[in-house]
Amino acid sequence: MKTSTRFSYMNLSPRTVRGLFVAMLVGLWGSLLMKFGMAAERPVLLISFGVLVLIGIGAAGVLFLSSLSFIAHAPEGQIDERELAERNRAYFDTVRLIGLVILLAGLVTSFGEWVGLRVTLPIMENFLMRLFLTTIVAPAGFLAWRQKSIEENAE
Amino acid sequence: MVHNRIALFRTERGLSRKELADLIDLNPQTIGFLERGSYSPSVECALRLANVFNLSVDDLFSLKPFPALSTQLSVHKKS
Repeated sequence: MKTSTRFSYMNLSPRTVRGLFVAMLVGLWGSLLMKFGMAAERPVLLISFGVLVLIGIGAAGVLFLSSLSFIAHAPEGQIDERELAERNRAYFDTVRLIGLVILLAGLVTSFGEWVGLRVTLPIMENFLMRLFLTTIVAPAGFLAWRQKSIEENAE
Repeated sequence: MVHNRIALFRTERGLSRKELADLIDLNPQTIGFLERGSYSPSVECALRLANVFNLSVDDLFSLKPFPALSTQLSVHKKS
């Protein structure tokens, strides 16, 4: 197994990765929700939106460079059988998360106007960008969560 | 759950987790998971581990908890 490749990734603890994952989800998806209320272009909303986007993209970037992200994206020959099994579970969790997000998006597109949520093209572009980032980074986040449950079972 | 005596035999042979991991092409972290019983190895991995220690898989892994060393010693003395 080539372990040298791992050293170029940031060796963050699972706890830090979980924190970054939550920050990414809140930042990216919270800012998308804010976009619905930005028609009036209030400065406070614009600044909050920008801060949330920065938090989300920053957290996603750091998460992508973590060693758990290496496990999530490494070729099969570079990780061992335990890591491979955990990665499979993490990808299954990611598929479920993405499925849920797409279901919610479908509901908002179909019935959102009843509660004043109008889906425009810029919102759809933002949605796709967030979906892409979440798909790339979520496996590492779920790997960190999986390690937490293993640690708790071992105690 | 699969019980094992990897930690016992590893310590007996003076191997670190990293050294053992290198011998059987695993991540050192996985050795820790195996020793704690948090991960059950594949047949191939179990055979490779047994091979490193020159033991049978039965000596290293069991579906029942292994008796404590003190118990085994007292049984051995009596016999």
